[in-house]
Amino acid sequence: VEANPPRHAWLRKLVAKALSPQAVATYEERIREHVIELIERLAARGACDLVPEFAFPVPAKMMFHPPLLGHPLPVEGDWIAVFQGWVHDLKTNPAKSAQAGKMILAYLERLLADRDAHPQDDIPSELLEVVRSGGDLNRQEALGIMFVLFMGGIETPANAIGLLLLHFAHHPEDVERLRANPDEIPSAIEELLRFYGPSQGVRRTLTEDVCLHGQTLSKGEPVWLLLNGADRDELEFEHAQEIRFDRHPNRHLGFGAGPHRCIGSHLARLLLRVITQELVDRAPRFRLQDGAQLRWGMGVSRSLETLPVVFERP
Amino acid sequence: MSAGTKYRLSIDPERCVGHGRCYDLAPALFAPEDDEGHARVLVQIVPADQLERARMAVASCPEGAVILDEA
Repeated sequence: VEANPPRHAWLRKLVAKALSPQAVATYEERIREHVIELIERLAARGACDLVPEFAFPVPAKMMFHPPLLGHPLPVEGDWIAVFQGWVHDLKTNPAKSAQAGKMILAYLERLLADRDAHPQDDIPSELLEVVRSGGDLNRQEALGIMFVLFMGGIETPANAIGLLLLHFAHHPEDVERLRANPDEIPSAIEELLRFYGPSQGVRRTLTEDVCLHGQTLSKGEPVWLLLNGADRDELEFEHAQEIRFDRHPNRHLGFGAGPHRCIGSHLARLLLRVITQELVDRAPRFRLQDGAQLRWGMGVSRSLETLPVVFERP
Repeated sequence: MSAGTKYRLSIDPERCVGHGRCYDLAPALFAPEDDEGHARVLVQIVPADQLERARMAVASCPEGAVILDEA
């Protein structure tokens, strides 16, 4: 992730095709079907935990399908729940964190080995083709790219979805507003990304000396860029602490900026839009369960671990 | 700004990194041109009924890459 141009641009190209705006548009129907099926099942049951039962499975099913990471390999038990367990431990359980990371990498290695034998129309197979044909990529780096896709393509969107749903659970009036005016959904999503962007900061290494507010930062030093801080900056956003669905302009940094901008942003926007459209339409009334305790994960990404809700009949 | 003023739209390719805000907001004026989502303009002179959309795109680009100037 910290590689610089031109190698960085070349590495990005290896996965950019499957995440391009044009490619992403072709996933919409499949995502919508899955979202509708889940919402109807959960709403019919009346109560559920929206993080493990919705926020995580939606992006997981999307990533583990061609042309992204491709079909999942069998694991013992329900693969989505297994992945969830690994990611959960990675984020919240320091003792098990290293082990969880190893489990994910071991799984991805198995996936690579499988695609070695049975190439599919997916990113692991394409990365292997680059390695095999003597491109500037080794197997370990291919694994690294897949790990970034696994975390960035499942965990980060799951966090974004969880935060969006938490807002809606607390603010039924906002759900009603979007139900009455669905055209506002895209700009509402931008505002929710500004306010609740899961990626709180990114690490960079300075490539030159910088003077910032009288402080000199030297070339080679590691720095944290607090994206969430920038997104609540009153100099850029009027009444930055208020959520305004019609905020315009909204140059938020929910996906970062510059050459390292989130490569999955087009897909993330699509996910959040489809989820919001179907939710306000099909199950607009849900609220936190009485006495529900919200649990937050540790780490760089703002992550809600649990969101127990009840659906009310319309 | 007089009623007859014409406006030209362009993208600074050095700045555009593919956020895609412009073609989301103004699909009649911009389109993605590659896998990263870099934008291209579809019109040079902005039709009068799209001028507001063009201004939205200028204001919304996180990189300041959308340029609207008098033709």
